[in-house]
Amino acid sequence: MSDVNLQDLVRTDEGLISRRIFFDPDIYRAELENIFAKCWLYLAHESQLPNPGDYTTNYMGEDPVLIWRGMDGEIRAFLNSCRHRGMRVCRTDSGNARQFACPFHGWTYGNNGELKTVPNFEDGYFGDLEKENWGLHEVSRLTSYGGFIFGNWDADAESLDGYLGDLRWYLDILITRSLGGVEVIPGQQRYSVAGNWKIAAENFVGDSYHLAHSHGSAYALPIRQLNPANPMVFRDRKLEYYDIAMEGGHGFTQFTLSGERVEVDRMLAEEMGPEVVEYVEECHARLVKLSEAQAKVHALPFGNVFPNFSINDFSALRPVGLYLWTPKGPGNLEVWQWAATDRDAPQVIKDMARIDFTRFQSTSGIVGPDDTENFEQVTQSTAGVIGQRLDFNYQMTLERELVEGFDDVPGYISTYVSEENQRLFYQHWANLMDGGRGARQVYDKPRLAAQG
Amino acid sequence: MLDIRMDELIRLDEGLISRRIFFDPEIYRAELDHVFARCWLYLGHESEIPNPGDYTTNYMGEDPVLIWRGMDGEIRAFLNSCRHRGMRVCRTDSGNAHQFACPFHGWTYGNSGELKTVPNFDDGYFGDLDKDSWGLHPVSRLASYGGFIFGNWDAGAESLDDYLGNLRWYLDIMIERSIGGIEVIPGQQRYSVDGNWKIASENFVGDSYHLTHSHGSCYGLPVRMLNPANAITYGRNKLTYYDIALDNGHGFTQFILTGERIEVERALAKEMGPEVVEYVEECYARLVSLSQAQADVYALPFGNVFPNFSINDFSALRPIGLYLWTPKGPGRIEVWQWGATDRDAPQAVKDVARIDFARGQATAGIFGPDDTENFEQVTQSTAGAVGQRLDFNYQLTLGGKAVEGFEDVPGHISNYISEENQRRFYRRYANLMDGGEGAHQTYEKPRLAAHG
Amino acid sequence: MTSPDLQHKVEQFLFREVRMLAEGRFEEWLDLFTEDTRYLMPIRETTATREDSERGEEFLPHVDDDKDFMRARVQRLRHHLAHAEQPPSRLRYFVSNIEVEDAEGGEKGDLDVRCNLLVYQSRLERTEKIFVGRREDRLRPEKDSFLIASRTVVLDQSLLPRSITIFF
Repeated sequence: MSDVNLQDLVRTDEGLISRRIFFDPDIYRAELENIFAKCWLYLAHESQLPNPGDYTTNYMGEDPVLIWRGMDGEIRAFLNSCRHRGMRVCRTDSGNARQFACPFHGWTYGNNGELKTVPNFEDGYFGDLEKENWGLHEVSRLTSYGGFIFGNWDADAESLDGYLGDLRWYLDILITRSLGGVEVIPGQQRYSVAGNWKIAAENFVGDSYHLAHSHGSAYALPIRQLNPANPMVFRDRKLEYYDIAMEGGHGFTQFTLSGERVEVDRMLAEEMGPEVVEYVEECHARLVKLSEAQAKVHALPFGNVFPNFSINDFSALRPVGLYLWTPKGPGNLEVWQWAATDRDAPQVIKDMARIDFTRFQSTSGIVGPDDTENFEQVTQSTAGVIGQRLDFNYQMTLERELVEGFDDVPGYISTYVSEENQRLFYQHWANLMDGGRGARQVYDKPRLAAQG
Repeated sequence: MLDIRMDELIRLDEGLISRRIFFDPEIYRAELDHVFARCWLYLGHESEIPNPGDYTTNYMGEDPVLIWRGMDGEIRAFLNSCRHRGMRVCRTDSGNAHQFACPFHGWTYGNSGELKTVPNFDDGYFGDLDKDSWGLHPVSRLASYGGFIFGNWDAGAESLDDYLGNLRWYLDIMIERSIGGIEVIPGQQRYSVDGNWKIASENFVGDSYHLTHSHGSCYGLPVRMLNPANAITYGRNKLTYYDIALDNGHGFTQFILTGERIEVERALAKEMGPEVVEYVEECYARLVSLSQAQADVYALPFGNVFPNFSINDFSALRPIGLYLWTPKGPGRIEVWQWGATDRDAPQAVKDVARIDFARGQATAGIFGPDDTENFEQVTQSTAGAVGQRLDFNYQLTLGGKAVEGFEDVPGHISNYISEENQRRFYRRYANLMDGGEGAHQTYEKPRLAAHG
Repeated sequence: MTSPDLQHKVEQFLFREVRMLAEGRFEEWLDLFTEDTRYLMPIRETTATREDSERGEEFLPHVDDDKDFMRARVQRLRHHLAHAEQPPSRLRYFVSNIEVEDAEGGEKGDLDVRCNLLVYQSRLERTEKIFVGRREDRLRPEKDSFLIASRTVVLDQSLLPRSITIFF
C-alpha cells in the first residue's frame, strides 16, 4: 500500500500530471464531492425561462436538477427527484408547468418546490406528514450573472461574484456587447463521449496548441471561418494572441488585446450591409463606455469556467457557443451545448446564427468530432497500469515570464501558444481535491502499488 | 476494509479455488500490476513485420502497444500513446510507417520511438523540451524466441529464456520442425468473450477433460479432424496420452511421447501425395537430429504459455494456432488469434492451412464457439454473492503421482486426463499475486472516503 | 397509389445512394443532390407530447447545410488531418419502410419519399455506434434517375451516441 498525495499526481511546477487522475474511479468519486458538490456550476440561461412556470433540466455532477421559475417570478433549482421514493419528478427536457405530480405515488410539487398534495394524506399518514419538510430538495445556492444561472450545493460557498473573480471582467464584454442581452436559441445538442470530463475542459481552458493539427482539415476549407480572427487564417496578418488564466481555475485562450477583433468584425460587417456596420459600431461604443481595454478585447475567444462550462464567442456577428461537459463516470461524459445570440442583433445575424453554430464546434460540425476522437483515445490511454505510471506533459511555456504591459487587463497573461492556463486549472483542481485548504489529503492507491 | 489472501482463495493442496478470483475487480486490478506488468507477454511474430517500418499493434494487459521495426531493422515495442497528452499515436492495426504524427497536437515519432518533431518547439517550449526523454514509452524488455516476440514491462525481470524454462524444449519441436521458419498468415481473428481470461488460459493449459463433452458434437463429424492424433478419434487405437506441466505455470496437454504422432502423420501424408510424404520425412529428420525424444513428441498438442498465450500444434500438415486471451476487465476478454505455417511447407499444405484454421479452433470454427459458451457462463457463475462463497473443484488426479519412465522429457508428466497442469498454473498465479515470494499481501478495497 | 415500377426505381436509387456512403464515395454522392438542396437534421427533445419532440426551425438543429457546405464537409474528409474519419469508420446503412408519394408543391414530377434508416458505425478497434431515425426526401426526376432536392433526417435519439462524422 502506498499513500498518494494529489500533489504528487499533479506536479504543475514540473509541468507533469499523472494519467491516473483521468481514470481512477476513487478520484472520480472524490471529484463528485470536492468539485461538483462545492463549485458553482452552470445550470441554464435566464432567457430559456422567461415566464412563470418555465422549466428546464440539467445535471450538477451526476445529480439531475430541475431549474424552474415560480409563479412569483423567481428562479429556483431542485434535485429532480421525489422526496418519497426518489422517482424523477420531471421527465421532460423543458417546458412550462404549474406543478409536477410524481409518476410513482403522486406526490405533487408546486413550481416553488413546495409539496402540495400527498395521496392518502389523511388515511395513510393520518395528517401527520410535515409537508413543509418534504418539498423538493433545493440547490443550496443559486445566482445568475448576466443571465447565466449558476448553482452550488455548498451552502457555505463563496458568492458567485467571488467565484468568478477576474473572469467577470471578461464576461462583461460578452454581456455588455449584447445590446438586448444574451439570448439562448431554443434547443440543445447532446451527445456522448467516452472520455474524462477534464480532457474536454482543459481543451477549452487553454489548448490552442491542438488547433493547427487536430483541426487542420477545417482550416483548409475555403469557407468563412469559425473564428473570424483565427490565427490559422490570419497568420499572415501577424496578429498578436494571448492566453489568459484567472484565479479560480478559469482560463481563455486566443485573445487579441489591441483592438484587432473589432477591426475584423468591421471588415466582415461591411460585406453584410449598413445595418450590420451600424450594429458593430454600437456594440463597440457600449464596450468603450465600459472601458477602453475591454473594447480592445471586443470578444472572448474560447475558454472554460471552472470546472466544466466552456464558452466561445469570437465576434459580435456570430453565435456564442455554450458547452457543458457533464461527467458520467471517470471515462464518460455527456456534452450538452447551446448557441446564443444578442437578442437585439440584426435579423440577418440571427438568421445565420443557428446554422453557423451547427457547422463548427457542434455535434455534426467540422471541428467538434475531431475533438471527440482525441478525448476518447486520450482517456483510453489512462486505463492501463503502465499508462497510469506515466505523466502527461504540460511543460509548454513552463517557467516563462508572464506577458506584461497590459496593466488594465486582469489575469495571468501568457504568450500564445502556452499551457499555463492548463497548469493553473489543474493546480486549482488539486487544491479543491485536497479539501480546499491545501491540507495533505491521503489518497490510497487502490490496494497494490505498481511495482514499476 | 477487506483483506484478500491468495492462500485462502487458492488452496491447491485441497484442489479448491474460490470463484472470487474470476470476478473481483480488486483482484483484477492487482493482476494487471502483478501478472501482466511483470510477465513476458506475447506481442507478435517477426514474420508479421519483415521490413523496416512495418508495425503491428497489440495489448499488454490493458495497455495498448505498438510493435514497430525501425529503419535499422530492429524490432521495438512502445506504449501506443503520445507522451504529451496520451492520444493513441497509431490507430490502425498494422502497416508500414516511417513515422507517426499524433493526431491531437502533432508530436511526431520516428520508428525507433524517438520524438522527432514538436510543433511550436521554439516559440512554445523555447527549445527547452528535452526531446530525448519524451520519446514513445518503450516496453522495458523485448526478446524473441524462434520468431515469437515477447515483451515485459518489468526491467528487472528474468530473461525470456529463463521465463520459458523447460517449455523451450517443446517450442523447439515446433520451431525446428518448420523448415523455413514459422510464418504467420496475415490477418487475425478477433472476438469478444464475456469471460475471465484465466478460464480461457486454464482451458488450454491442461483441460483435456472437457473435450469429449464440450466438443462431442465435432468428433462425430465425417471430416478430417482438427487433431489427426486426437484422443477421441484414436481412442480405439489405445494411444497413450499425457499432460505435462512446465516451469513458471506453463503447461500442455494431450502429448504422445512414444512416436505415434509421426505415424499418424505419415498416414495422412500418403493421401496428399509424394511431395508431402517427403516433407514429413524431412521434418522428422530435423527433429531426430535435435533429439530422439523430441522426434517422438513430433508436435505440441495444445497448451498455454503463462499467463495468456495459447498454442496448438498437432501436425506438420496443419496450421499452428496462436491464441491471445487479452483481459478487458474481470469479466471480459478479447480473443486475438492467428494461424501460422512453415514458410517452406509444400504448397498443398499451405493452401489448406488458412481454411483449416478457420474451421477448427477459430471464431467460426466447430470448436471455438463451444468454448465461448463455457467461458461466459462459468464467469457468470462467479458474479453472485453466494456463488462467490463457493469454490471450483480442481481435484482431478489430486494426490496422483507423476508419470515416470520418460527421463529425456522435461516437465511434470501426469496421466491423461488430469488437472495437475491447472493446479500448477494457479500456483504460479498465486505466487505472483502475493508478490512473487509467497508473502501475504493485503488487498484493500478503495478507501477514499466521500466527503459529506 | 405508387406504381410498382416507380416504387422499385426509388428503392434502387436509395439503395445505391447509401452504398455510396458506406463505400466512402462522397463526391459521387454529392452529385445526387440538386444545387439548391437542403440537408437538415433537427434535434430531438423529451417533451410531454409526441409532436413537440421533433424540434423545428426555431430550434438549434444538428445539421442545416446547403450544397456548398456539404461540399466543404466532403472536402474536409479528404484532408489528411481529418483524423475523426482517418482511419475511416466502417459503415452499414439499412433503408426500409420506403413510402413514395407525389410531392405537394415543388416542381412537376417531384416525389416525397420517406424511409426508415439505421446506420451502424464501427471504428478503430471497438467503438460501435448505432444511429436510428427516418428520412424525408424530396426527389426530383433527372434523366433516368433522381436528384435529391431536400433531405431531412430525424434521428430518434435525443442524446446522440457520439458526435457525427458521417452522412445520413
